[in-house]
Amino acid sequence: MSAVIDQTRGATFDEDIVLVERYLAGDQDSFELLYSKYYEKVLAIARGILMDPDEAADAVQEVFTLVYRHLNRFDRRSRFSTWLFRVAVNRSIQEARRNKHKSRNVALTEALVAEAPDDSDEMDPRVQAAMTELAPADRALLVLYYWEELSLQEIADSIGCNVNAAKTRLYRARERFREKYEVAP
Amino acid sequence: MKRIAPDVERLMWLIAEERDPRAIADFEARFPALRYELAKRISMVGDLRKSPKTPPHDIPRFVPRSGATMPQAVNRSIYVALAFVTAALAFGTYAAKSMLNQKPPTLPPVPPVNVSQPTTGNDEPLYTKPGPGKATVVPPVEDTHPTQPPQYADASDKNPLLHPIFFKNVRAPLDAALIQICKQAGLTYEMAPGMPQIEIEMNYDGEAAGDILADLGRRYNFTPYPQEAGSLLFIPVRPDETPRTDSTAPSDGTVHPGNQGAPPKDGGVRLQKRPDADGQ
Repeated sequence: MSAVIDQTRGATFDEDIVLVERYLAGDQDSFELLYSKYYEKVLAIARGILMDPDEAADAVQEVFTLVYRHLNRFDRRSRFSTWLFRVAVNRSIQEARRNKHKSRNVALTEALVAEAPDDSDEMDPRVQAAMTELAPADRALLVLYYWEELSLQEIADSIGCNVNAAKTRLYRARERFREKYEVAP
Repeated sequence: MKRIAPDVERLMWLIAEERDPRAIADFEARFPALRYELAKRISMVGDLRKSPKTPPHDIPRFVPRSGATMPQAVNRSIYVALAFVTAALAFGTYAAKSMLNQKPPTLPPVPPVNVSQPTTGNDEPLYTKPGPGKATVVPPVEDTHPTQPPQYADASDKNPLLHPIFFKNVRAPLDAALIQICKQAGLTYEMAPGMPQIEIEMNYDGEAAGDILADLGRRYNFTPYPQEAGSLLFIPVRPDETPRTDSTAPSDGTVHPGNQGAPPKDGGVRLQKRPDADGQ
């Protein structure tokens, strides 16, 4: 997966555009290829923001449904992946804010950890506790930077701001994370 | 804990993310007091970087869902709605404010009125403002409105005997008829004993009350004697005398005008005076 990202970062030509054009011309298989290529990436972003695997899986389906329906709105000024991540981040943050009122996050995450102890994606408990305490927007920045290892430019494109603003927001999010992390049990 | 300067804080985060041993050693040599803080950040970034590896599992088949909308579109519609609400509020506020601040309607300016000074024949001022060395001149007072009796538009307003009476084809007892006539004319009355108790017929259309009473006296043998102002006394005619009419009235001023003769010059109606009313 990281090879795909590196390729995406370094290449000047966005090979996804070809698949996009094919899909818009009526080739449904092209969308299946895009879906398969970015499913795990989008799932990781959604999981980092939503902090819940089930909700993340649900959000991924919604994200790809949006892309499937509105791919003609992709203006090609950025990479397809950046546009896709932006949709994923916005949708996940929206979903996280909606779920915040349900106050389910912590309980569900704890329950899922208890149910699946052998899961290899187990997160450091202190990191998980601190992340859970953060706002969804802050989680999105940390996930994109530390987990998905996007560049500041890609993060800026994904959250819809310039590089300096992305850098400042990332710095603040990291400081807030440190405050939570240091007091986490 | 002492607050760390922002630039040092940024440097620590940079070293923690780069994890370059030489940079770490340099920082620790330069800021030995912050060695522990740097170690904490390196540990934290290390923990944070351990991203949860997605377990290898089958990618579910993509089935487009219904009802999903673009987040951007949602946001845009919210902004548009908010803009409309804001514009409506602004317009409402402006309209209310301008209505409250509206000036009252102004009347056209009144042209100046030239009041000419009344002058006397010798052009002396009627009134001079008193001042030092000036004598007060008081104008001569002339009686421009000599006292005159008030003129009335209608003599019947003052003399009840001239009050017009309307009785169209009325049959009634004589005493009841007289009472009604007096009431309508505003006369007070007294009836001497022996007034005829008969039923009479009347047909008067706006004649004066005095005329009607005189007419009735002729027809039904009684005499209306005037007492004080607006007061009458009805006396029956004795069998040996005839009621006073124009033809039988003495020449001492008793007049029975009514519908049989010309009215007196002053417009009034003079009834025969009772011989003993003024002690004669």
